[in-house]
Amino acid sequence: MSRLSRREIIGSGAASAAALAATQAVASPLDRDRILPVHLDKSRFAAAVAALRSIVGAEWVFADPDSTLPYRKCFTPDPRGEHIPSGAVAPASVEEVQAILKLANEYKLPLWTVSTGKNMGYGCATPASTGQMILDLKRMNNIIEVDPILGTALVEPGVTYQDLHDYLEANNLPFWLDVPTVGPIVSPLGNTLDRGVGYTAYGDHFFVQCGMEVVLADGTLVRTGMGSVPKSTTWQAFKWGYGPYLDGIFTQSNFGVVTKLGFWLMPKPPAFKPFMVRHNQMEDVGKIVDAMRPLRMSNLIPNCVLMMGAAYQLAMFHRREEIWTEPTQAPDDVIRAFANKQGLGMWNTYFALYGTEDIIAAIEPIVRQAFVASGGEVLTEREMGDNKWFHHHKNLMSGQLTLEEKGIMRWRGGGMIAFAPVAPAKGSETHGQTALAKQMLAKYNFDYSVAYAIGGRELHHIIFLLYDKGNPEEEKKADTCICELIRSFGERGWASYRTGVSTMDLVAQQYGESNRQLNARLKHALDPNHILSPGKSGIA
Amino acid sequence: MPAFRPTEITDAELKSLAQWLQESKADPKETGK
Repeated sequence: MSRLSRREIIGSGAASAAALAATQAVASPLDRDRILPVHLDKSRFAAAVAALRSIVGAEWVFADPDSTLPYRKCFTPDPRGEHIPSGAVAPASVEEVQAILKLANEYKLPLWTVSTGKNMGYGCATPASTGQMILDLKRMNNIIEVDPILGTALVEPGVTYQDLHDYLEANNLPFWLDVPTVGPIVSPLGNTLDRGVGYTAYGDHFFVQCGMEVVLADGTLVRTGMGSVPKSTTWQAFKWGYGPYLDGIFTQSNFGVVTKLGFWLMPKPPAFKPFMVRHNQMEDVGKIVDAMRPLRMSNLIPNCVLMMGAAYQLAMFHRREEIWTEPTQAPDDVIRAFANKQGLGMWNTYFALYGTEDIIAAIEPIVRQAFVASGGEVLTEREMGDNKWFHHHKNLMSGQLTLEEKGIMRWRGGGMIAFAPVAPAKGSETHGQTALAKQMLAKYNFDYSVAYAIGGRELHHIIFLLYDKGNPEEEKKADTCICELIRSFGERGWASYRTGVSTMDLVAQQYGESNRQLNARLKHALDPNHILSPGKSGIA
Repeated sequence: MPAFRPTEITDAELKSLAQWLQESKADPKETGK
């Protein structure tokens, strides 16, 4: 038994599953008190559910409380029950999506679209408002094309990074994926549409996206860029097409349902060398950023660099009670002492060089000099050996798949919500962000568990608020704290690049009324019945 | 088994996975806790 892989054994169960599903009795959607869409009463909702079942088959509509439960699961706080879906529907084709949208317009049924629904720090599959039905696109999981010459991919929403990784391996294609932290279970389409980031030179996922297919609310099928040209052979080769560039309005938005996404794959480099720079003081954050900025701007360091705080790193593989048993924020010296025992500093900055051995040998002295001058220790595999944190980040920077970072959710009891303000790549401002975040988190007795993802000229300061999801009081506190963080940072001009379902409206307010009105006008023009993901990014 | 979505894993697949977990030896290279 142990010779078989997990994936093989799951596959063996799949055949009997289809037969089982066909024979399962479908529970009534109205068998208990339940959540309903805001504009539908019980009988109207029951009629909508019956109509959905006629489109996708009874087994792919989930409208009783038990089968809806998995769509409610999330790590983010929801103390007032404001993000509970009424059910879910899972189409298998573009035609079924079009039929569902036609029906949703008829019934005014709000649909919250997800691809794999693994938006971990931002609400998973839960909707921006209670009563929306989840439009679950996981069954649309075809890898439509991988061009081995141009290094491009075209995939459906339900394809995961693991699926694509397996495809590249099976076909012996010399490309690396750029994966987000929990790549194996996440959709490239979903992560790109939320403008997520990874850790190689292709780390800005929307930057390397190229072409989409979108179903608009009225059922119109649109291909962006070169995809609209009959017989086009350049849909995944040229991003911009002709006329206004449209792809952006379908990211972090609710203007359509994206059913195909194209993107570029990184050619596997002949040589790759991962590094870690260790700094041991919280105050070193500014020096690190100032040392990194010119190297990123000049592309001498080409990848999306991670500057990992010690508390976050420790949470990946350790429980809080091993380090600090008080309810108050874990002090820096306690975190530092434990981190040092693991070979870590207060800040651990991971980057890599890619190319040939000669190219790496030429660049390495330049980056070493910059980081040594900042007071850091520059470490490689030679010094770090099989250190599990170094190994983890080496994997991420070479497009390997791992779920190890999910361990952070066990730090304090299964709760997590991310706050991700953007900072300019200037040491003084990152120093200010760190100080403010530590102060705010300490007020609520939460630890400073963070990572800075460093782009060329900015950083995503990703603050993970880790809390006990099983404790209602702590859930309330986490909800209050995240809102206060957003407001306090906003007063300094620091707004989020992305946010969870519970704070989408709050962040949208920070981007100003003109911006909101423009989005509202676009929304009303494209989706006059507001059936698609109302509330996404604060767009009703 | 309501904890999982049928679109990501079926009951039959989950049962197979549970059996595999029960019968497999621990991976000494596993670093998670």
